[in-house]
Amino acid sequence: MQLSPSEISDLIKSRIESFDTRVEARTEGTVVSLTDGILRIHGLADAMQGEMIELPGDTYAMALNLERDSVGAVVLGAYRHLSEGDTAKCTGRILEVPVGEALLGRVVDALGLPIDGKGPIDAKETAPIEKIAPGVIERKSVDQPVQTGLKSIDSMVPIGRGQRELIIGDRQTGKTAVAIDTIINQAKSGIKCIYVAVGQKASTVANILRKLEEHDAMQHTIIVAATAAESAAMQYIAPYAGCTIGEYFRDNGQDALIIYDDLTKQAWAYRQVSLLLRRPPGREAYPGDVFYLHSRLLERASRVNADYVEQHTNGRVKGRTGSLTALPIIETQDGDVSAFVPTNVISITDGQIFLESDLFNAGIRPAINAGLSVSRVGGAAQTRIIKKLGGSVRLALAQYRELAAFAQFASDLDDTTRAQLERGERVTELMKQAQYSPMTVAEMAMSLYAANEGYLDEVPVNKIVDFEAAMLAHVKSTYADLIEKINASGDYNDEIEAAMRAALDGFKAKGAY
Amino acid sequence: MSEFTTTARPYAKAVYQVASATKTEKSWGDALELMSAVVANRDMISMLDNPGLKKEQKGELFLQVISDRLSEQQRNLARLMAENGRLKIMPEVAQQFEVYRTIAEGKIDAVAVSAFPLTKAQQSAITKSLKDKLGREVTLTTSTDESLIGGVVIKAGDTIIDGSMKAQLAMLASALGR
Repeated sequence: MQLSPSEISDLIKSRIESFDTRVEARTEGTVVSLTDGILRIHGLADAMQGEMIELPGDTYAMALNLERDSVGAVVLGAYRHLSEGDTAKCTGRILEVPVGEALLGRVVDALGLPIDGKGPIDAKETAPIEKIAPGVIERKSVDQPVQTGLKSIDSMVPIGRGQRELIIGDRQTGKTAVAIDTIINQAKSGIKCIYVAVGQKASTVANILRKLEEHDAMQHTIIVAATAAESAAMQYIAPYAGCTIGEYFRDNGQDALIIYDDLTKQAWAYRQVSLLLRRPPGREAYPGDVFYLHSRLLERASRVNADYVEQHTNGRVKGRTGSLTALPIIETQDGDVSAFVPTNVISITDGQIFLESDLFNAGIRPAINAGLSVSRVGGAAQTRIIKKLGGSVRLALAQYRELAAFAQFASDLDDTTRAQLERGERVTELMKQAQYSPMTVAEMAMSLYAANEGYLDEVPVNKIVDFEAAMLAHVKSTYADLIEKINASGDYNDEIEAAMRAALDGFKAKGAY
Repeated sequence: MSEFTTTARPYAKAVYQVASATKTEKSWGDALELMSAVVANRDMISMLDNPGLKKEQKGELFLQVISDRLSEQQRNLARLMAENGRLKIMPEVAQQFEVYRTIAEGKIDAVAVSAFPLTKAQQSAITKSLKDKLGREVTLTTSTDESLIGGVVIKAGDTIIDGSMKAQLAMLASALGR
C-alpha cells in the first residue's frame, strides 16, 4: 500500500482536532502483587465487576475479584513490563469490543483488535462483552432452518435459527469440519458467521482461514481467535467477545451463526484463571460457577421478535426478527460424555450432534451417531420437503442398528429383515458426504427420495456414492427447473413428487453410473 | 499489604470506638503512632520474631520501652495484640485509625501537584471545588513537579483528578498510536 504524506497529515490533523481533552476524576490504586498474570491491586474502592483497569504501557486488566481492601484482576495480554508498585486506574467501562459490518471478512483477537494485517477496522460502535440474554417477552420461537448443507444433519438433526446445537465428540472426529461446512453453506443464505477459535494452534486457525477464503466464505464470516499462545484470560473472554459481535447482527434484525471451537478449552482457561485467583476448586478442579460460565454464554443465542429489533434499532428496522444460532463444540476424552463440562453443556443446549471415532474410522464421514444425536427444537424449523423425506431415513437407520447387532448371529433371515438390513446399509452409505461440498435442499431431497422409494436397493453398496453423484449430475443438467423449484419453495406435494419420480426413472433408464 | 489491612481493621475499629466514647482521639492517635514507631525498630522486630520468647513476654518487653507514656487502656491494647501475636500490624492499625478519624471528622487530605507553584487564590479555588465535589472538609497541601509541563494533578484518597499537560499528551499519543 502506498502512503500519501498529505493524507497522513490530514488524518493526524483531524484526529487532533477531534481529540477530546476531558479531565475526569478517576480512582487509582497500586499493584501489590503480580503472579502469573493475576494482579492484586490495593485501592480502587469503586471498581466494578468486569471493569477494565488501565495499567502502564497501554495494557488493560479485567477486575474479577472485588474484595474489601483489594481487587483481583487478570491482565489481558502481555504482562512482562508490569511490576509491583505500578499504578492502576479505573476506566469506568466494562470490557468492550468493536461491533458491526466492518468486521466481516476479518480476523480479530478476543479484544476485537485486528490480527490479520489488513489494517485498522472502521467499526462505528462498540458493545460490552458481557450482556444479559434477551428475556422471555422478547423472544420468538425457532421456525426457520439453518441449512448446514450436510444431508445427515439437515435430515436427521435439523438446526433452526436461534437454536443452540452442541457438536460433541473425541478429537479427530470431524467436529470442526461440520462447523466449517456449515459456514461455507451460508454464502447464499445471508446468515453472518462468527467462528471463535479458543486455545487452538495458530496454524490451525490459519488453515481454517485459508479454507474459508478458498470457498469464498470469508465475506460473510468473522474469525475471533484466542490461540493457545495467548493468555488464559484472553481464551476465557474470547467466546463472550464473539457472542457480542454476533448479537449486533441479531439485534439489527439479521441472522447470525456463531461457532465456539471449543468450549472445553475455554473451561480449562477459566479454571486456570479461577485457581490463580484462589477461588475454591470443585469437581475436576473447576470453580463453582463453571455451569454459569457456559449457560450465560449460550443463553445469549436466541431468536428475538420484531418488537425487540425495532426497539433496539430505534425504529430503523421494522418487522424483522433477528437470530443468533450457536454451535458450541465440546471435545470429549475417550468418548466420555459423562464428564463435568460435557454434561453441563449437553443440558444447556437444545440438542447435540454426537460424532464417534469408530464411525469416523469406519469411513462414515461425517461420523454422526444417528441414535444419540438429537435436535430438540429444529424439527419445527425444518424445510417441509426434507422433513417429509428425512423422517423415513431416521427410521430406516434405527431399524438397521437394531437388526445389525442381531443379524450377526442369525444365519437364516426372513425377507423383510433382509430388506431392512439392505436398506439400512445403503442409507448409511448414502449419508456419507465429502468435506467442503455442501448440498442444496433439492439435491438432498433427490437423494433422500431415491433411498425412500427403493431406487438404491438394486445398487451395490460400494456403488452408492457413485450412483448418487451421477444421479445428481444427471438431474441437475436435465431437470434444472425442478431443482430450482424445490430450492425456491421447499414445498412437497404430489406434483413435485411426480416430477422427482420421473427424473429418477429417467436416470435409471439411462443406467449410467 | 492488603492481608494486614483486613486483620488490622477490627482493632482499628474497636480502638476508634473506645477513643470516641471517651473523647480521647488525640491521645489514642499519638499512642498508636508511638507504638508503630517502636514496632518498626529493628531490635524490636528481631525480638518479636524470636521464637524463644512467649507471647506474654513479648508484650511485657514491648511495654517496658514505652509503658510510662501510655494510659492503662492503651497498655491493654498492646497486651491484647501481643497475646494474639499481632503487634507487628500496629502501623496498619494506626493508619486505619486515622482513616476512621478523618471520616468521622468529615475531613480529607488532598495533594495538589502542579508544574508551577500555585497562588493563594488558585489554592482556595481548588479547595472550594474539591469541597463541593467530595462533600468533605479538605486540607490541601501543594507541591510542584516540572515534568507535568502544565496543569494540576489533585489526589484525594483513591481519587485522582489529572488535569496535567503530561497526561493529556499521553492520551493523545495513545489515541494516535491506535
